[in-house]
Amino acid sequence: MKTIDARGLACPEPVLLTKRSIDDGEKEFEVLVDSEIPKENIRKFCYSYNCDMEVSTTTGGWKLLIRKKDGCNSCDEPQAPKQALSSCTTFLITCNKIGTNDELGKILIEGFINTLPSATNKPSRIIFLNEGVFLTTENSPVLNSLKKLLEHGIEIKSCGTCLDFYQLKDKLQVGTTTNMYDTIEALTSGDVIIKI
Amino acid sequence: MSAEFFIIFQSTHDVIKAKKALQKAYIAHEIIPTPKKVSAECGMSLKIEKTVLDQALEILRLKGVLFRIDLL
Repeated sequence: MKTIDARGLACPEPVLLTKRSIDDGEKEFEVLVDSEIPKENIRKFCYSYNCDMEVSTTTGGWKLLIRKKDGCNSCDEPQAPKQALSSCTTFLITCNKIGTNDELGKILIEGFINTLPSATNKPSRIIFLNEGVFLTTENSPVLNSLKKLLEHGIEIKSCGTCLDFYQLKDKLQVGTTTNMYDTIEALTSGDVIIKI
Repeated sequence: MSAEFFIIFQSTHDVIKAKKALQKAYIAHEIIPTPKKVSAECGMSLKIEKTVLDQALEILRLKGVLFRIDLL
């Protein structure tokens, strides 16, 4: 049986390796991980990708036995929307307001992000691009809520080019900086993408 | 932890007016959707900590904003 050693790899690499194996036609294989985050991300991925996952403990980590469930691949797609928010969902936020009206838009984005920590279904990742980075940096009105989301294990990523453009590089208050490679990986990883 | 209150307004325009006034006075606040127990409408409220509540209410009264408060 094929074994993927994903120990020490940064997110989203373990999930991508898992996805590639399934896409390559592997029906049953093992993935070795040494951290809770990839384990949970792979679990979520399996749920959304019609696979079973069995976890066993190894020294310093876990062995994940992945089994593709029976059924044709074409059956997977119609199921995806139903599973939307319970599987991997990425929010893409490209502005510091919702809609075009400045005043109302800013109130709406604040209300939106401040509600997320108490939402039953949360995204697994939020990517901030362009003016969206005003929400993750100093003087943002939603830093507390974003910090709470981070504590829940949700990835908060801000575009480095955008931080640089707005001279906010040293003012990032929550989450980490990302680049276009990571952004494209995230958008094409099989996650449900919702643009706010 | 300090008790939290929310201030409910009659219109979105009042929420915006109140937010601007509180920002100007550096009073910490958060915009939250009006809790469902109070209103089923899609309204926004301001969440305020008890320690700055009196100060916030005074500012809103001076601004002539119509509001009511409730415990979160």
